[in-house]
Amino acid sequence: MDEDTPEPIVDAPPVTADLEKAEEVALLREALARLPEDKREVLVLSRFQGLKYEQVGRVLGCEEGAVKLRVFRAVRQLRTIYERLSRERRGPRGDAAPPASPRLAQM
Amino acid sequence: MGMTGTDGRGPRLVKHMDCADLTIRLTDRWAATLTAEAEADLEAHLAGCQRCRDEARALTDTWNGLGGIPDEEPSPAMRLRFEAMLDAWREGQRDATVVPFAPPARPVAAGPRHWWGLAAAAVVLVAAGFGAGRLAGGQSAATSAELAALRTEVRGMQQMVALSLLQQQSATERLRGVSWSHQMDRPGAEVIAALVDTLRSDGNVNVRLAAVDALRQFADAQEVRGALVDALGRQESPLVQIALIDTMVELRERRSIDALRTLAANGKANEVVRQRASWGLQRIG
Repeated sequence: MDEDTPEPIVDAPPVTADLEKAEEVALLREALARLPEDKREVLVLSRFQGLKYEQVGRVLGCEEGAVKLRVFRAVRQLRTIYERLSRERRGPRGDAAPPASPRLAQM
Repeated sequence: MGMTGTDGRGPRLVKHMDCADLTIRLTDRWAATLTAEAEADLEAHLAGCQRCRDEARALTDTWNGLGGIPDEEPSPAMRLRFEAMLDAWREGQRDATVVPFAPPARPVAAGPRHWWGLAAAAVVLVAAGFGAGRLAGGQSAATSAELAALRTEVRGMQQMVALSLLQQQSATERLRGVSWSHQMDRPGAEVIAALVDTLRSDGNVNVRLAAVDALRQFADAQEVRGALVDALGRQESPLVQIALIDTMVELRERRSIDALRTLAANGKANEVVRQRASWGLQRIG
């Protein structure tokens, strides 16, 4: 009978992908909230407000090269927090499901 | 670390990057300011250095992921103000040559600083506030408290900017200071006092005129009204006198009646001012 052969759920993959994407974004937001103020500040300016590094430098009173270093360190710390949160969410057996970093990429 | 590019594709004109250059190259790539040559060099290095390759991939994922965070809008008024401030800062930076500015944690004395840099610091705080709001989603009490603290800090910074600008030698800067005070929701006593002082003693008519406008916004405070009434008896510039008369009429300020009578009867006063004072007396009286 047909009862034994359930209909394939064709919509499942995209829905799951959307959910995972939403979860990743939420996780990243949380990680950003936990970032120290000075690091969040440099990301807000360079990423969200779209200022050039030179402009960010003028705002923060430092050289462009120093801004790049600060941006790099901020992203690195953000990444660390994100990965930690990701492991926590996935429980002690998180090794079975590694942090979903590649999916965040829009490269 | 310390591995150099191992592209094996023959000599290049530029020095090959090493692991220490990843910071600059990657941040340039994120900002889309990496030259083609540097891009090729970066690729070559990443191809031969797994550690840098892994880090570059993970951090770029994170950087790109930030672009996927929905941009929760602040209130329209805040947004407008923020953009105006940012525009002003961008405008101001074009002709600036030196911007030695560190976000100050103390009252700032007047000096040859780039004041829009200071103003921009307030922008940073507002921006950071937006960031916090965006992240918090207004849910946790702790974050609300944090946001409230941040707003207080922004207000403090705005006040400092206004006070600092009002002390500048350039009338244009002082005008900016008045404008800055003007857009504050709740200026502190210090800012009010500085505005009153500006109205009393600034040598530039335009600055005094702007101070009248700014103070009118805060006329709920008795000391502000008192200062405006007092100024009516002191000011000698017809433009400022007329602005003050209009303000008294708008506020229906009966304490100004004596000053208005004096002005209306003063044969040395400007004719238009005397007529305006008479008109004001009729409206208030």
